[in-house]
Amino acid sequence: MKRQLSVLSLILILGAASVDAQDSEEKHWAFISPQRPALPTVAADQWSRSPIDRFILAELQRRKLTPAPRADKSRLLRRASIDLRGLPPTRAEVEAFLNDQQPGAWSRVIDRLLASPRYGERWGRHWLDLARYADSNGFEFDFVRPHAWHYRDYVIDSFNSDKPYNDFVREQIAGDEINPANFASWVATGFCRNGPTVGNQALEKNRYEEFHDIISATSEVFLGLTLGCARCHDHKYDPIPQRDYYSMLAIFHTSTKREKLLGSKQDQLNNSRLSKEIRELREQLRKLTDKPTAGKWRLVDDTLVQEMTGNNVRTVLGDSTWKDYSLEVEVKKTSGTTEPFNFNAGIYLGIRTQDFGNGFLLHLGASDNREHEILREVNGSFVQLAPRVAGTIETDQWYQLKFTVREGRLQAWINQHLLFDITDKNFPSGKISFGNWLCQTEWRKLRITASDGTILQAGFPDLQASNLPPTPDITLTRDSLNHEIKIREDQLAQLPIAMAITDAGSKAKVTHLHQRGDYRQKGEVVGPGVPSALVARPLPFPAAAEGQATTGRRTILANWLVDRQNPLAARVMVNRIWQFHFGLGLIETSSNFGLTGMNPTHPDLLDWLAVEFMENGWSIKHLHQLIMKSAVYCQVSNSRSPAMAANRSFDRHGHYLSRFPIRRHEAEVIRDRILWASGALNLQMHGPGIKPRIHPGVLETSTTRKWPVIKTENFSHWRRSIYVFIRRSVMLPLFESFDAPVTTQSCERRISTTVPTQALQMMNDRFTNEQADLMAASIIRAIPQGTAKQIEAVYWRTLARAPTQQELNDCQEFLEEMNRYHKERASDNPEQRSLTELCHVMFNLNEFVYQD
Amino acid sequence: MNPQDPFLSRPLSVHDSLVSRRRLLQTAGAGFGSLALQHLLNQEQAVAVDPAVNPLAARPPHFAPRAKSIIFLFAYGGPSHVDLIDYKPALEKWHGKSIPVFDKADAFNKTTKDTAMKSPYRFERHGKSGLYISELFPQIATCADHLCILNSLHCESNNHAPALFQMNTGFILAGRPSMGAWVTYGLGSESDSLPAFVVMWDHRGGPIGGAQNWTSGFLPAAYQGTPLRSQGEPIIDLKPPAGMSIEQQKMRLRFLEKLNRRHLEQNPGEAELTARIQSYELAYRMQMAAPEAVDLEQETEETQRLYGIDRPISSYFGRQCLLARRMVERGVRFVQVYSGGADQQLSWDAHSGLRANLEQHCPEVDQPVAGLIKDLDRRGLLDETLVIWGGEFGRMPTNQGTIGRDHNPRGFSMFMAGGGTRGGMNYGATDEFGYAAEEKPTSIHDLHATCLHLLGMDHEQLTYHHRSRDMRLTDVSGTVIKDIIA
Repeated sequence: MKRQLSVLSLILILGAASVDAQDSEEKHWAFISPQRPALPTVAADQWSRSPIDRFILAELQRRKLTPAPRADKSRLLRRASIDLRGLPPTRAEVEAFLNDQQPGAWSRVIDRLLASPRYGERWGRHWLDLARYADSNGFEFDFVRPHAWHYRDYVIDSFNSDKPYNDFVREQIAGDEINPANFASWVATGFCRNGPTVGNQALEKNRYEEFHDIISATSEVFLGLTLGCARCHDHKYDPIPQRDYYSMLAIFHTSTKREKLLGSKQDQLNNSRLSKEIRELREQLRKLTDKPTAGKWRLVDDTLVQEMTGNNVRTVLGDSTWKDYSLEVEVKKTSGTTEPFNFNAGIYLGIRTQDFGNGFLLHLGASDNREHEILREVNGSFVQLAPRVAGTIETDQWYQLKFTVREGRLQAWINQHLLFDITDKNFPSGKISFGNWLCQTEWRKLRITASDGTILQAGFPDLQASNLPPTPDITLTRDSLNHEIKIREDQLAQLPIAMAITDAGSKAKVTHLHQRGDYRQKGEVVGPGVPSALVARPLPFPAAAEGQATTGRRTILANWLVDRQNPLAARVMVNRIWQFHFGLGLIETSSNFGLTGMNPTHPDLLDWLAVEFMENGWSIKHLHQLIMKSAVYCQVSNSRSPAMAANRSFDRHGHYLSRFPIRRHEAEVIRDRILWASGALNLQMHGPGIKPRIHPGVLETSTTRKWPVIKTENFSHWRRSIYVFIRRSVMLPLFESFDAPVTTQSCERRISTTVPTQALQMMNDRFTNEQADLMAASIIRAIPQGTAKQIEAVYWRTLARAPTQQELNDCQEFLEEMNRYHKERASDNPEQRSLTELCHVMFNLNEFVYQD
Repeated sequence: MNPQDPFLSRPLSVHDSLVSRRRLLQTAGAGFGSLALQHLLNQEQAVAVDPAVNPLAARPPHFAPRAKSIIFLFAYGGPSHVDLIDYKPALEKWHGKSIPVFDKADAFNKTTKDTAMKSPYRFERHGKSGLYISELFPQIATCADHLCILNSLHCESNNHAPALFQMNTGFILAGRPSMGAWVTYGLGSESDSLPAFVVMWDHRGGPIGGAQNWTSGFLPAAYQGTPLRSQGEPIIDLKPPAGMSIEQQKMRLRFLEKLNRRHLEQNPGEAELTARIQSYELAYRMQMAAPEAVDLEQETEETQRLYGIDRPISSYFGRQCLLARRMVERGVRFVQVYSGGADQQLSWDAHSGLRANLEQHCPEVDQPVAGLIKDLDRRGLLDETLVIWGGEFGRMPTNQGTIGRDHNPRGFSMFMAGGGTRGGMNYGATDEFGYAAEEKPTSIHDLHATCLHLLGMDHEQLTYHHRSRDMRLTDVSGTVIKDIIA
């Protein structure tokens, strides 16, 4: 393998020689390889602490701006901790840093933060934005990608281990070729699988949409080039002919999707066993009919008791010649399924029943016990007769039901409330029926009255004695089958299966240019190549030897991407790292370094960093150290000084870094900080995504519900936000409203909006209120007495600092006020309730959701 | 303009585009929409916001608008135009015979036949204008003189999700901003206590693709549609959690404000922090205003009847249509209501059992839609409210199975009322079978361009810089249909 690689790199060096100095005059700066510029000279520099500062200061001086003062140590630690871990520092950490008076304390703190596994979770999330990562396909069916999470974990682990960026890039483009024996290398190619996949449209068209996604993502993320724009025509602004797009297509064209199992013999056996069992269970599920079956009925005193939980258990009684009549009965649900997605579960009361599968049915507690409905059943299939109405059936509570048909008008009541009222020309005559689906019921006070007032039936006959169809053995219900399938799917998801790509073979697929981007209009044949503006001569792509597993084309591309001479890869990445530290990159359009992108505010600094990055083994952690130790990073974000006011008016958006720019946390940081403050945060790493509670009202939006109904969250839901399952059609509402990216395309920078619905969510959602509860309870457990100490704890947990004397007084006053409120209402435990109120207020503070 | 600011010579960023847009409006506004500009300034004084900070602040349009808001009644599933509003007598003659225009590639289902199937329903002329409308819409027919029926629409997918995405966002792929998002991005909101863009969906479930149909896409999240529920809590998280009183919440909010104000003092000049403080005030106002806005008990019995709320078949959609009117009355910019949910017979997707399908769905919407138009009209709101009715595509004039119709993206119909459109007219036409748009074909981009135009916006100027391009709802095409504007 090694030998093969070195041959390839030799080819690279020959092919991708740097651009001739001659034509560099005409070339866009970003298409010329970066050279390390000299440090600028600056006048009277007492400020600089690193080479970076020289570049910044030179620009500030040129604009007659002065840098802001250095922030105090505790503020710096808060900033660095959020920045690198996405979580605030503990009180002990702050105190340790304040007490460390030795030189190099700041550098040691940065090292310590970088060594935390939380670092990979924080910076991995940035990369997942770029990689448009999700756990499902998107589009109407939005199928789950059970193995996608390995990629997320790969990214986290890569950041934590400071994997050299050039390797990181190579693996994501061609891991299967570069190191086929290594599971993580296969997982890395998930980068090429992360885009959304289209549903049931013409197959070929789909595939080209997927290639388009790969080409766009690869060129934007690694090169900062919008190559996707050249699909239909030559790029309008950049020197990217349409041909370049198809040359890139030729590199990926032979690749196919592969779910690659790379584990022990046992893993392989488990894989085939589980897949087979799931197939069989699905088959059983398919065969499991919903045709009604008689249950086990017993008459206890005057109450009819049904003792079996199954699909569609029913009984029929009465006379099939009965015409217009009204039916009154009382029903109680004694137990029921708590499994979500049981839309049919509930209580059934039927009239005009001919036999088991024909008649009119009132269905109570439909749609996961949220609605009632009225149905006509014809040979076991249901037609809904009127819109459903909201309503639930509580367990162990008697409900009075009434059902009448008179002269073509059908009405149904529950506890005297009219639920349904429909007219129909012809209702057949028939018996009545009772039953339940995945629950157990008791029935009493049955009374059937004919339209002339004659009592047709009062009370129940003993159904055990009556002649019912035999009860088949239905020990396996839909619930239990689904449960069995889920167990196996979960086991399958845990297996080392990479959602990867690899080539179909060594022989490359012929690639044509598509006229106007339409795959049906094939033009000239195009060979593999990299964007022509970036190389002096076309990069050679020698054909792979016969018998090789792949064409090797992606490896050639990958090596070229991170070659020392590549003008873009290092610049693009250092700019991204800068952006994630400061909110804006040195180039604001961080995925567009082309002619339509913005110009860098500090072009020399960008190049200096790019060269520094490459010369230091493409180490990202080295860059963090470099940037964070600079004076520019350590400035205050704001103050009330006149100098700051002047800075603000001339450097309005902070582009020139005359201060540290303030910005709102990402959605994930907000959620994680709440969990951290409440003490609920579960730091378990890795593994399949988690599904926290989503308001059931939100889940109604989607046609087929794609998220479980969680009644109450527990410790397993309180993991860091990076582990939240990303279902493209159902985003966690907190993430959605706080500007988490839609995962349809690579997201280079999050925008931040402020709207009242966010405030509603923070004020009223169960999540923030429950977490405030938990937080108050845990503080009182630790500090049973003394509000001052409790308030201090609240401040440390939420804002990572001690309260000022004024804040302490204000909080005490607030607690007293709330205490009085709760005492007046004789609430139990008023002290804890008041503390909950304070915790909740803290979650809503600007200081809590802004980094400064 | 500040010569110190080097960013003006470069492409506008997200932030800059909002700020300089405002500048532009302030300098150029006096020429056309001075009334609207006045409103903008008042709004700014009232809430003291920078649009870069409050993305929902009302903004003036490009030119004098005909309509202020849109109510889009979305018949999800693909309503059968040839049985409703596109009268095709030729189908009688061709009934059971192969029609020459049929192309298997257009059909979604393999079982779709090439033989014509006449409509089982009678069409009659209505109103002074004499528009042909099917007997399935007896109430809508009484509004004929308000209707502008577009008969020559066509779209690019014969599949629900992509066609829905296209109708809502202009593109068949998911992820683009919806028209409602574009409109609120362009105009902001006239209401400071309700969301700018609300969506209501069918009791049987939401449309396929769910929230992707009202997403803000690459626009800021502030512009996404807010689901409004017609039963129970109207907006998710609107009310304090169970057990918390308003008084208790007020105490929390007062204390929150106090601490936030102090933090702001330490951070002078940070507009975002101010905006976030205001967003809590707005949220509180919304909490108070939304329950009032959705309280239909305030409406007279006569009004409720007008919308068909008294009849079970039409009560659900009727309530939603009445809510839609109450929303636009209160300044909401864009309301979308879906009829038909989940799939197949639960939506307008009549692959089999065409009659059962239409006889279920038409009576559900007929009275409510007619009621809405009449009610808006008598309140003087129809002139400033554009009502749109239609689905993501139409249905085949041929049969699928014995009596069903397959999806038809090649030709279909919608209707508009009010909002500056001409009433009592048909625009464009399909061929004699109702199969494909033939006369004045109208693309979805044309439709969107026209909607924006009626709201006073030039679809080529309503742009957002994203991924190095000035993105538009209408991509690179779209022509305003001038003929339908009164």
